[in-house]
Amino acid sequence: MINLDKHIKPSRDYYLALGLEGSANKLGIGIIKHPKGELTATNRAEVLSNVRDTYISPPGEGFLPRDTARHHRNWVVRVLKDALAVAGLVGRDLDCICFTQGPGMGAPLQAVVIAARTIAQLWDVPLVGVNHCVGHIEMGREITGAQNPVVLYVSGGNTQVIAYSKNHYRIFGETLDIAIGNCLDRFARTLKIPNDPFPGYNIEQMAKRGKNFVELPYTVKGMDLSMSGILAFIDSLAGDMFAGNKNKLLVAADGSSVTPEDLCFSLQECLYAMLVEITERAMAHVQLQQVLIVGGVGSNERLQQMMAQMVQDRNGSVFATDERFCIDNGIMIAHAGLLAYRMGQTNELWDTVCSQKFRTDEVYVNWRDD
Amino acid sequence: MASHIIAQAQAYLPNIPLTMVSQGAEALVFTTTTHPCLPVSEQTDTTYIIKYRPSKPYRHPKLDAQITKHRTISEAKIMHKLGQLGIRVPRLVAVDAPKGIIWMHFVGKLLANGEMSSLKNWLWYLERVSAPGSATDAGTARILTQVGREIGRLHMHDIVHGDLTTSNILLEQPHTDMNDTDWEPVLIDYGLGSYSGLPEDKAVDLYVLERALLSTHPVFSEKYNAWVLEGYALGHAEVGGKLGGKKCTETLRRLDEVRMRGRKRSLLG
Amino acid sequence: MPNLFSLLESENCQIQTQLSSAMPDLIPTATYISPDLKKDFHPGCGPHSTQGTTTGPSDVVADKGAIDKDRPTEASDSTLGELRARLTTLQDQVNVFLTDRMKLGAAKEEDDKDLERRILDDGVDEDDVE
Repeated sequence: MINLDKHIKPSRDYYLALGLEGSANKLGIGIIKHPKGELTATNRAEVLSNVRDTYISPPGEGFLPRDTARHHRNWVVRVLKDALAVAGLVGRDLDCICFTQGPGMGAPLQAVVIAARTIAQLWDVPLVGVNHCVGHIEMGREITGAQNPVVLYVSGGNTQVIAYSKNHYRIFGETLDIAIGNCLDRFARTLKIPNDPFPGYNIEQMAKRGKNFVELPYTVKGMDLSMSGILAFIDSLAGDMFAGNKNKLLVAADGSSVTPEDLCFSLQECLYAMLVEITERAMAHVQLQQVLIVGGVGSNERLQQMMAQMVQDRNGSVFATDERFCIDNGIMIAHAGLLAYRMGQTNELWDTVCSQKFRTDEVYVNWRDD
Repeated sequence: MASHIIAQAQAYLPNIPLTMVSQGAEALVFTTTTHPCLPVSEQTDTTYIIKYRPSKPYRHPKLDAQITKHRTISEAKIMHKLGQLGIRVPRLVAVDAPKGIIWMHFVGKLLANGEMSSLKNWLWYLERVSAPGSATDAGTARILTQVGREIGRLHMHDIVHGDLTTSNILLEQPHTDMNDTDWEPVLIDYGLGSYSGLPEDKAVDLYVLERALLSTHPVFSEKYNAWVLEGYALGHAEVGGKLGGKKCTETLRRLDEVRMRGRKRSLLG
Repeated sequence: MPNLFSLLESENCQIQTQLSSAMPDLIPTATYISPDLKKDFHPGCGPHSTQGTTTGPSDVVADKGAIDKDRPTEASDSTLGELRARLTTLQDQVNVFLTDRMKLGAAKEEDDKDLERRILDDGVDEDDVE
């Protein structure tokens, strides 16, 4: 049994942590409260505030590091003030300030860590560096109550199948090239779909109107998968469609022409089937019955539905969070950071350098002992 | 266990007594003592495996039918080919591709803790239950070297497995005089297998296994992998002599690249 | 106020920023250090503003002509507000300096490569060497 209360402030029976997240185009700041003792179904973490502002790039463009960092830099104080006001706290009330130390885009990470360092010194509160992926996993576990799930982490920059073993979140499967969200975003750009609220959402809406399934390459490699070939294939199909070139794949079984909606539908069906398959493979391999879906793409209803169908055939259960928690946010950084803080993990100022390639399995998860 | 899937299997296989062994990721595995073609008078008590790939309700029907058929056929073809080449593999009995059914001879046995003798269960048993040090002793080294050797031989024949994990390697004792810690590995589950002479595909095969070792057996994964690669070179030399050595070097060089790609891969959105 | 952030670090150069307080003003300064050059930056006496010359949106975004929703707010009349404005000036100075260094570095590297090619690879095709 782990003692999580060795570092509690005298005269307090709770903890407060603020988390700053800005590894991609979302700037999120949240404040979480942990009661003393182990977190259980009756002794839960409490979200005091969870504020987010998203940088949205012009249609047909991805978000560039420089403009994203500029967005974070120029909004961070306003978002921070909001987060404190909603929680009804002042900076000195906090036990620790948690920030995303990676992985992510260099410039936005930099912009946000500078804000974290500044307020830590201003208020004299310790800093805790947090791995973005571990933030997603821990927040997902807390919100859904999933004890020991296989985690499917799907976002703009990541596609991983993860399970816990011996104080680390181990990566069992992952993409061998591009991330799922990246694949969807890039296809959205090919189709010139708007980036607001986010490209994947707009693809999902179009996919709902698609009827004809176009066969695409299906590239699962054990528990890993590859998506760049599928993207290249469907991009060229879309190219033929727009140019009016003859292509027998663009003629549906009933003789009608394949539409952009059909392509969105087919792309989702193909990619999500691959994700569900590698998740099932990991479940069978490590003999676990629960699945937790985290990350921005995790809010996709079709993916959740397919996962539920798979899990049903294994008598297991699937857990997912809504967009407040699965889309990048500050609260998950606060939560995971606070768990580490309660185990005595803090970062000195010199040790707050961010890393674009901070791998999930590098983190020492000493707040779990199962 | 989902009973409707078992019921479906039984409906496809009327009058065949089925005993459920395991539910893998994409297939149910049953045992039976009935041979599909032999008349009743010639049935023996030999045990067969029936591997059934059920339809996956989450997949689009078109995709589902295509995957089930494709994987069943390619698994059967590869197993047959490997048998001809003298590589240790479960012997094929019968195939029904559209229904996703393969019959084969039984391999493996039960471990002391009642689990099937997959390499995963065996290593877990050594790491968790058995005497300290046994997970890295000479016996384990020999088994993992043999695993590498089998993969090397596979690759020398331009066949890639596609899903190398410690779950997909069974251990068996083909000779009656083998003692409790003496095993021969058999690679199974060729559903994702394919024919390829490309160093890239072979390197990805090795990379997938390397990662499975790291995630499933984190404490000793480096040692395990080093033994596998040692055996991998042996397998090449045995089948291909000097040319085998050259091919092996080529694939291992590519493996370095695949590893780098994994580590350096951009995590940007 | 003990403040020292290393903003930029590579193998052979770094930029350190310091904050000195000559009450009631906070003056940020920066130092660039590399083996061949050391340079100090001081925002000077101004006027300063939070609208920098190098801190706007990138050309790709600016060319799309949308309203810039991510502009920094104007500096307030407080000590911290003035610090923000001075920092923007300092940032402009550093950005201009580093961009020039980068261009210079690229040109130099091109020269070096050229020299290398002429001396080492003169007339020899790469594929012939093994």
